[in-house]
Amino acid sequence: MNSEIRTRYNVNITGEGQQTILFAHGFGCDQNMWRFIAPAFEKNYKIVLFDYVGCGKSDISAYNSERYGSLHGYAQDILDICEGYDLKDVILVGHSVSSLIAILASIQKPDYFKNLVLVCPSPRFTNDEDYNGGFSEEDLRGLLDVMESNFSGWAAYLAPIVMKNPDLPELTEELEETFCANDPVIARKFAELTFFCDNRNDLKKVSLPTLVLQCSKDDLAPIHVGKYVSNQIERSTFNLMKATGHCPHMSHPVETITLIKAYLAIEG
Amino acid sequence: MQLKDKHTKKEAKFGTGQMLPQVPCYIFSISEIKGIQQVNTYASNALGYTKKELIGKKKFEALLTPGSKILFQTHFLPLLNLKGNAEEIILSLKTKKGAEIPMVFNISVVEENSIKIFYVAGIPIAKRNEYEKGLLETIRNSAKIFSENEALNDLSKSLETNQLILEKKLRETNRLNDEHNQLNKVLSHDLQEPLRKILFYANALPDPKAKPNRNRSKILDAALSMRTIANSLQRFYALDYELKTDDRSDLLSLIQEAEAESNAKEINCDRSGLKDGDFKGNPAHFKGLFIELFDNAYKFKQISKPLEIAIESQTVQQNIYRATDGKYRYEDFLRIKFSDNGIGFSDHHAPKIFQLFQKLHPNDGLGIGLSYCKKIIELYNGTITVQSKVNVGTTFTIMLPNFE
Repeated sequence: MNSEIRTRYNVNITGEGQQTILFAHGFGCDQNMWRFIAPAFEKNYKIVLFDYVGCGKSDISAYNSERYGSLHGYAQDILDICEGYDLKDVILVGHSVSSLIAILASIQKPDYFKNLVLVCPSPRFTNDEDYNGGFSEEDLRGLLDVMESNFSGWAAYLAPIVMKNPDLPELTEELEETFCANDPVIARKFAELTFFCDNRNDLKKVSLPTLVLQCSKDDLAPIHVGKYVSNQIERSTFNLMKATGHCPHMSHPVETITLIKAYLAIEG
Repeated sequence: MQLKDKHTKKEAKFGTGQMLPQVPCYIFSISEIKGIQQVNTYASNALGYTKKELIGKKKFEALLTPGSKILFQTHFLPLLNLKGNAEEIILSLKTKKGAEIPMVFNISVVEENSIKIFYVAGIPIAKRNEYEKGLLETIRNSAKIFSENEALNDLSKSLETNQLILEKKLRETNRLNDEHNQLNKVLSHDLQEPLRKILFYANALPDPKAKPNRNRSKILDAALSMRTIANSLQRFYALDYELKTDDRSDLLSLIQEAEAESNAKEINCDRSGLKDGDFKGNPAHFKGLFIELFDNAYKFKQISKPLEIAIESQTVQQNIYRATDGKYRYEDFLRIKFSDNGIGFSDHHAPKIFQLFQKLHPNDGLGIGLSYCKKIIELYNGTITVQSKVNVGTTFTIMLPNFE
């Protein structure tokens, strides 16, 4: 069972503690995104890293377009890992779209988890009558179109959308590498799921104590969106970071680690 | 004539002399602060603007279509700041009249007096873009033709329907099998014992040394017990034949009624966790179910504490396929949790408690109540599971499909 789960999701477990932290990577990335964060928790926690099916070094033959046509299918990846490794009371950290996936997983099986940490969450990118997601539907369709036009090299373009940090040039290269590792067709489907999702109604169903980490300048998930997420979740703590961009765990790891640790010191 | 000369002179200052203004490509220089600084005549003409309208007035992004603007601001601008150049990037410009011109750009950044200047060279690729779009369209169309082939489509539809039916049938078969095995046990053992007693004492009746009154009451007890078993069994199996209606039930009122009608007394019932309550199902069936759950909790309460029950409900989405591998469709289920602080039991007994006439604790019950609950839930294509801890309590979790 475990070896099957390990191969399918490229699960890597490290750390010396008892309490489990499971890190879920965002759109277009894989578990490498957590490399500046995870080591800081190794002494006191058991760290679980994985790649969603279709990303990184997961087993691409396990891709099922029906299952991964819904964010619930991705949430099932997290639940599969918890079941396969018999993980209980997990602290689940999700970045970007994985914040939503984490939310969906926690609604289905609240007993598996103890806390949620949502890094740069947005429940909906498009505007609605009384909701400002930051983009019009046409904008996002146009975005997908131009992405498609740039298709052959689109991995290179996607890197900076998530990495808004000009000070660390080696990061972009790393991202380009990671993006290239993802199947473009699967990645596009994942992009559509990400940008056209609407999970606002699920926020109220979150019963776990939750930390929302919000960047100060985030083109994808603006501050009012992060605040909205936090307001909808009953037991949530909102933290506005000094970090900019959409990937504080890569661009501002120290601040990210400090905030998560401070939160867990109180909640965990 | 004089005007034209002046104009030409200015153009000459622009750099490479006479050739540049009309060279068939788009050339801009853009200050990160002040926007467009220079633009060649060919570009401003093609865009339908005068140079006056552009220079110092517009940012480069303002000339892009919305989708390209997002891509530029979120992807290319950081890339340009990071690497200083970007090559062969595809973005669409918007003319003053709103027409779209797909372009391929090379952009490089030069810092002049600590201000970043973007040098932009672009070539319209309307045709190339159309070819490419045509290619993509062809690929998409062939995929479309393939999937929209009527026969195939019908086939896949009926396949889907059949799969759902198959899924139901598989579960139904599993359940029937299970029940048959249990029925076999009831018939071969549980009913045999009272029968044996009836026969035994009846045999003893003509014996003159026997005490007729005592024997008579034993015969009656055994017969009554047999009748209770028979009635319960009948009620249990009758569920199969009762027509399922399209009724809807309201959880809160059902629970209130069930609590009042059950044998449970002096309960502290917390219903604050009931978030969603409207679901598809016959109210009579579900009231019966909750009466059983209340009775069950009361039967197994801790003697030292008052009985506390907490009921929660919430809509969650789940894959509707449980018996078919590799099939996924996520739909709404109503999840109901019914928890008590009773004596509980060890978790490894969990599968047993839903079986007919299985009792973990000796009492005057028959051990049919929870089997009855399970059967109702399964008839509505749901599931009921249990988690328990000795001396802590028991939680039943019901998942009920709640979609059209």
